[in-house]
Amino acid sequence: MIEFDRVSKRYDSGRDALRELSLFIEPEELVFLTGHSGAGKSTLLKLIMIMERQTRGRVIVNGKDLQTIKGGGIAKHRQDIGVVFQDHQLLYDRTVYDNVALPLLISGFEHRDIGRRVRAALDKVGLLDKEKSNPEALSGGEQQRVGIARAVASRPKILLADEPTGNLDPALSAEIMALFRAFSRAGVTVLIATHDLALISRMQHRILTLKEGALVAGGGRE
Amino acid sequence: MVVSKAGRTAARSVTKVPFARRFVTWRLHHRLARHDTLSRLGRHWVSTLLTALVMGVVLSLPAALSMGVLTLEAALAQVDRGDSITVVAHDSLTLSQVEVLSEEYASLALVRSVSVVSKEQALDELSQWLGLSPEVLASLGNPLPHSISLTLTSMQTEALQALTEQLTHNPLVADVLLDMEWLSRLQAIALFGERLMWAFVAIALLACLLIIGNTIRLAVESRRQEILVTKLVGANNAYVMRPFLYTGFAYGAAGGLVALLITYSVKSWLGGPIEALANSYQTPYFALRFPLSLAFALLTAAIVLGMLGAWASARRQLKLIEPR
Ligand SMILES: Nc1ncnc2c1ncn2[C@@H]1O[C@H](COP(=O)(O)OP(=O)(O)OP(=O)(O)O)[C@@H](O)[C@H]1O
Ligand SMILES: [Mg+2]
Repeated sequence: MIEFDRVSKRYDSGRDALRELSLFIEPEELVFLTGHSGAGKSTLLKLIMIMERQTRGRVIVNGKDLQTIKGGGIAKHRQDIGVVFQDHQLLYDRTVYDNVALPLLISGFEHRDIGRRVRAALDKVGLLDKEKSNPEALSGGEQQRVGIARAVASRPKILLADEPTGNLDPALSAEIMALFRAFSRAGVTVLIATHDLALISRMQHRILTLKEGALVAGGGRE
Repeated sequence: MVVSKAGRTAARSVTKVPFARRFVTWRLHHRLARHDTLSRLGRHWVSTLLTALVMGVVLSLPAALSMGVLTLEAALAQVDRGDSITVVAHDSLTLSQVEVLSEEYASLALVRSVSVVSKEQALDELSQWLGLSPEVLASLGNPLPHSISLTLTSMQTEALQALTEQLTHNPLVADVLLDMEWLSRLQAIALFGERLMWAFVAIALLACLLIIGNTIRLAVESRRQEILVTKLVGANNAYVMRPFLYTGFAYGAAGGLVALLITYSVKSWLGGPIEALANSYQTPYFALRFPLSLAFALLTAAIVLGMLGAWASARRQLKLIEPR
């Protein structure tokens, strides 16, 4: 569950990235977030991750007002959210397995549990045979899928993705979107920021459209 | 009592994970950090070695100096113990008169023991010292007076001066011999050595902090991306800080060991000449001193410095690395 209540974000530069934005995303819903470059998509996701703080309004995630989360609580909050980045953000000094296991190690999963979850996640993205490889040796699409496996390995209730298909070919993009859809069916709240209108318009899901930091379509409860 | 909603939520999330489970996780995180640190230090073993050597060299300076100071102080203590003043009796006094006088001195507060040196004994000593037979010397007539040697309980300068004055006032006393200057010079040297040592300790502490701080700063900087990603997937500051603390610990321990190695090498290298010197003064207790307790303190200090430098540097750097 994600709720924005008249949220504004002004960066130190004076730029208003979000203006009086309100939205509500149900648990287990898959929602696309779109808009021109600079519309505020990444900013919105960063507020949910507490990578930035809103200037005004309230952001509520899983029933918790993010303004009340501070210090060590931020790390805990991030453990409950899976994130996928356009540029993968994998660590190239360790294997695919270790990359996917990282959030699990941090969150304190049991040893046996970690092995099971990592393999399950890699299996879901079709990379079980690559667990011992270095991510550098994988193609862009494969690296993106490792990033997705890392985001979902701890089975978070919320999954965020910022341009997850940014530089993938259409077939691969469709494949990855199908993966996200499968996760939402399994009970995960999924929020995907993307430019790829052609792809998402075929997918029958709610589309939030941002324009200069304000919501122009798709907001509110369904 | 009013409990805010936020407070309740926080409390719940803390108690959600049982303590035993959190302890296991904590231990696992420490093991991971140790493993990570060791493998990194091993992979860059040349720079690891160089940093440890630099730290060791810096720390060995105060260590070697403190060895010198301890040795000098021990030597001074030897001089103190053997210290005495010599009261030269007036020519006209007979040996028995001198003995009466010596008994008088024995009751003085500052005097530990007295011994009378007759003119004959003095001549014997002199002849030995000159390498002549006492008969030859005696044939020249014995010009030496009787004297009393006083061993003192304290070498305090003022007390000594007072005593000397008191003794000289006695008309039966011809002279009071006391080598004060030599002693006070030695004490001044010891004090100088001690201050020099503390100055070097301070300089070495500062240098070590700077060395470690800079090394850790570079280490944090080179792992910036990794730290960002780790924080994004839910690591707290303690988690990302841990490997750097272990690195500081490792550098401190290695630097301390290098310093000990240098110090003990210097000790064995200087040991021979010092022993020869001690033998020439016939003071068998005089030897280079670097007790085990000091070695332990040095190692502990190096480790504490390493961790402190790492902590301060990493904390400062990590504040700059927040996911944005
Ligand atoms: N750290 C920052 N400091 C100042 N301004 C920022 C910062 N991050 C983003 N902005 C500004 O805020 C606005 C929204 O940025 P944001 O990254 O959210 O856009 P976006 O919708 O993700 O764009 P894109 O599709 O290009 O990724 C932009 O005008 C951008 O210049
Ligand atoms: Mg963006």
